[in-house]
Amino acid sequence: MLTTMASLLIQSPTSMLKHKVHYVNQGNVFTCMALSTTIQSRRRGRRKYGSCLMAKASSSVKEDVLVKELSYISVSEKRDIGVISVHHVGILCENLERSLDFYQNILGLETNEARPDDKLPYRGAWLWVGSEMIHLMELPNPDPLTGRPEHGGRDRHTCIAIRDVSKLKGILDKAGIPYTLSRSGRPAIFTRDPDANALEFTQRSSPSISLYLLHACTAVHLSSSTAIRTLREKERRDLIVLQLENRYRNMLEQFLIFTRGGLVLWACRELTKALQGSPIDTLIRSCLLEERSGASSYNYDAAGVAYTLKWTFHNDFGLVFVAVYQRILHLLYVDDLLSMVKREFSVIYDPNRTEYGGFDDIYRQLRMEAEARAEELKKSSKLGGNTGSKKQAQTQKGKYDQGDKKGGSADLKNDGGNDDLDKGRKVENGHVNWGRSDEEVGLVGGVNGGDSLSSSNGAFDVNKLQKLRAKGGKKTDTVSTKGSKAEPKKKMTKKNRVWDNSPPEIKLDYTDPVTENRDEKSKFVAADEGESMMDKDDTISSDSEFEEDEKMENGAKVETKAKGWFSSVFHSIAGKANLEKVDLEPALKALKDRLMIKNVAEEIAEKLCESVAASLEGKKHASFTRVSSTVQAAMEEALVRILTPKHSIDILRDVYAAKEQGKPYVVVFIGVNGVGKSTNLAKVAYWLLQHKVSVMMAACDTFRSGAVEQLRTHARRLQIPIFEKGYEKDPAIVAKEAIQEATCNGSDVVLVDTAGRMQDNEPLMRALSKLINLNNPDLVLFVGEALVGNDAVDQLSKFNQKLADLSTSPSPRLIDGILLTKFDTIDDKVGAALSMVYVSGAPVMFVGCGQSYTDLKKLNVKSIVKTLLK
Amino acid sequence: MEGMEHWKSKLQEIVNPLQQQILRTPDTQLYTAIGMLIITIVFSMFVLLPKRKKSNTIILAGLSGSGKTVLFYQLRDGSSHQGTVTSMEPNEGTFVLHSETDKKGKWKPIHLVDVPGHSRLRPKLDDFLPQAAGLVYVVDSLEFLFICRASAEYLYDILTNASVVKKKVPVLILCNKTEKVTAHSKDFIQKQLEKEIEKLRASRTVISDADMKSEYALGIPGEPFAFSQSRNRVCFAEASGLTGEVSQVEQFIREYVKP
Repeated sequence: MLTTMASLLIQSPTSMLKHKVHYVNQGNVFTCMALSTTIQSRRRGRRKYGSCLMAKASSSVKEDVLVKELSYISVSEKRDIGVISVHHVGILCENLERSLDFYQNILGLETNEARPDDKLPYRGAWLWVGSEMIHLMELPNPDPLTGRPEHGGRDRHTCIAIRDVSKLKGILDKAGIPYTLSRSGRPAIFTRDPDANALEFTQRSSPSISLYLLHACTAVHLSSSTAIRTLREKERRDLIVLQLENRYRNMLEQFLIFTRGGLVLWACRELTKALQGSPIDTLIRSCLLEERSGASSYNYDAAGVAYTLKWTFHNDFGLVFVAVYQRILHLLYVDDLLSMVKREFSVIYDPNRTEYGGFDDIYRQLRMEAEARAEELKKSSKLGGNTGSKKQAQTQKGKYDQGDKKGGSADLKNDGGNDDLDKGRKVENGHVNWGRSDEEVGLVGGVNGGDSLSSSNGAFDVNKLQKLRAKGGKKTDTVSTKGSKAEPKKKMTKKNRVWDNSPPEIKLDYTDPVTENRDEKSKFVAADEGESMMDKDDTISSDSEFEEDEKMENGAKVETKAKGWFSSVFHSIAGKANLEKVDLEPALKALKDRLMIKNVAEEIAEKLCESVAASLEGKKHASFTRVSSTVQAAMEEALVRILTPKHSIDILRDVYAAKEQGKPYVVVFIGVNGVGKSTNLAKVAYWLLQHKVSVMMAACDTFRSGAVEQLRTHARRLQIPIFEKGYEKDPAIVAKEAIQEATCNGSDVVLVDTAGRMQDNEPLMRALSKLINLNNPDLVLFVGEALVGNDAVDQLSKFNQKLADLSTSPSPRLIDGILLTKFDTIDDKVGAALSMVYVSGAPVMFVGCGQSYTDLKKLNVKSIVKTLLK
Repeated sequence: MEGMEHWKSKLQEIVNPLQQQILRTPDTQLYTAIGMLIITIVFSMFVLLPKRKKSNTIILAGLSGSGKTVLFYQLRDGSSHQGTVTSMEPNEGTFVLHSETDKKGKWKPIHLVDVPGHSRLRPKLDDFLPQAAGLVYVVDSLEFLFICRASAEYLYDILTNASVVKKKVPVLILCNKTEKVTAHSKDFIQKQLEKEIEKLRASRTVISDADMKSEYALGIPGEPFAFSQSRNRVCFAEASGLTGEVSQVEQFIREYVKP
């Protein structure tokens, strides 16, 4: 049963699996699995060749692996029990302290403090080995202590990958522990622990590890002890990353295609490893439905896992493509892969079909292409200069978009040329050429564009490039597939144009993209009067631009306008193929301005517009509508969604629930100075009193003079008890006593007034955090004034941030709800409500709108949305 | 009078050529023209006149994760395909129930709408409720204890919705996921929901004046709430979306959308 490394190599993966299962059945705690390999095998559901790799310890070539991968796929599909990795190796010992002395002091392993050793009926300890563990168990050892093979390699053994065997050799020499070296001359060392359990240490050469370490060093700016710790963590992590990246390219945890309605159309079958938790559902609930889909990725954290999710939409078909991978792997190819899969899948998509079994092969091919591309990109980015300025990259981006779009012209020759242009540009920039387009288009002439453009293209930022490529690649490739494949594509035909696009491409570099766009368009219209009716994309954008931006005095010519108007009428009647980002931009900009006029924070308006753009791009444009009205409708929907509370804001229901449990319902009012915390606390008290709830106030503003007296006045007028302890007391303690008092005298609700504080005031924020953590209130109500503009974002995010950071408990309390004050003073500038809700995700629970006790309202979502878009 | 005569002659001048024109045109052309005119009028009447047919819309509602989308596909295709994720948009479809496609005879297709349960998407329900012939409220009977309150709140909102109350839309409370051993029974769920709604009744009636929505009171004042008190029919059933055990839902649907 205990096969040596060499024999493992020649065994078929299936039989190895049997072996492994056998192990488990026997319950034998000794395994001969080399720990190092767990690193490789943990990644995939297909662990078989993970173990094969183990055999190929140090220098397995990537291509080799890929070949293996392909040949083993059929096996893996048949038998897969969902293997993830080796979790730990159990080692029996006679005396725990003696063994710990060996493992900790000589080998320098760290104990895993998080794992309790007192849950088991016997004593034991958990030691970290990379990301895996050794479990030392103090149990009688059934193995004989004498008569074992002298060389550990011939005995059952555990193998640990280390970086320097010679160093260990020195340590063992010093400690006087006998060891043997590898018979085959590998840099490996065999020794035995005090209980004669054989251990192997094999050296894993990783040439660029030092580079990673350097990176880690520079990244860490912490106190020295923490730095060392972090460094070690990072080192370990980076080692894993490095090995993984070297061995495998396929490291996605999951790839899903589903409809917006929620039906999974296709899931990657290769990646059979079950996801931990439900990252997809969480993504939808807390990101896509919260109008945050404009972001590029989403991080999912659950017990023990950290995933990053990336997604893309196909808005016309209502499809969502999601890729999930482990956070520690910075996969470069995911964006690329997503857009490629999106493109390919939309070809075969049929709304009535629900099974796409045949997509597996296409996906596999796409994945390999994407991986290869990412690999090359990585290599070339190391060589090429990454100094390009952001602005340039952006200009480039604009150019790509336009160029590519126009490249979608009807005659193949033209778009082929354009393709080559793109290609030339990319190659020339020291980046990968399109393996795919090469194969599929197979058109002649590769460099003609490259030369003419060489002057305008400098080196540019790698990160930007990635996005660029994903974008540009998507579009050009659509064209190329169309050209080569016989499959019919209904959607594509309308986009076609027959323009030569070289002049604007060269020109574009000098100017800011927006103005350039405009110029270019008017120019085109002027030049090609006869054809502009066909050119739906561009004219619609120019006309919507002028419709929306009339006030903004754009410099378009009268001629253009007339044409624009005509085609706009034409378009609104005919409907347009698919909305492009360019078409949406003017309408979105106008909308953003309108939101900002209504006092929505700029950042929020921007994000919202991005999210709306993401949800509209590629969507079919309905007949008899203008782009602006489509955008407006989408925005309205988004706004309603944001402002609709996530959870119930029925405080009274919660109060009754607390009452049943026999404890008071505690509400803490927090906020910056002078927003009206005390006044609105009194209003809430009045409202509660009206609904036959007994209320008590707690004067925890022990800071500002007169605060207690102010509250006392309110209490007297409302005839409710007040708990006060004067000034200069710790508000956290006062609140605690108030709650105790309320429990005793049977009050249902405790309203805690706190001192106003600026969000940047560290000591005061600390005090607030203490108050909240100590008393664990049922509701943390942020009081904000409706007058605030951009500062709303800062206030709320900092309050939330500080509450999270300064909290000592693992699950900090954040803001649960918002009370918007001074709502009567703002007329139609209701943007603060939106900003606050968007930033915190908490609903507006009350709106204060006047000076008297009765002036407390609920937020009417519909009217707010109406006002915002008016 | 003279003026009159003058006008008459003028009119004659216009009418005469027309008459002659009509006489001159072949009969077939004339009939075709008249036929076209009639067809146009009839067609436009069909289009413009509001349909007074009985609605065939059945709505699937319930909290996120209760299994509405799976039910939707079970009813439509008889399979849950490769599984589902949280819905972002309603699923809509007009079809004959899957179990009926094998049977002989003509069945009236059903317009089934699966409204996402995520609270941010709740307003979408209001768009569909006015045309509903029936509503299936799906409850996750496995996790029921955790979602009891939220579920009751949503149900309360539906039962007090103006169009539900006015049109007395029948509601089927469907306890889903009964294939699991630990699922709660429908009687237990009914009792818990009644209890929760009783509490909500107390807290909601007092805030209704502050809210803009016109809400209707539920149940009989002074008595503990029971579903039997509501004016529209509320009944309970069990189903298992995953295993395809949806006969009770189909029965309910067919009760209100006659074949």
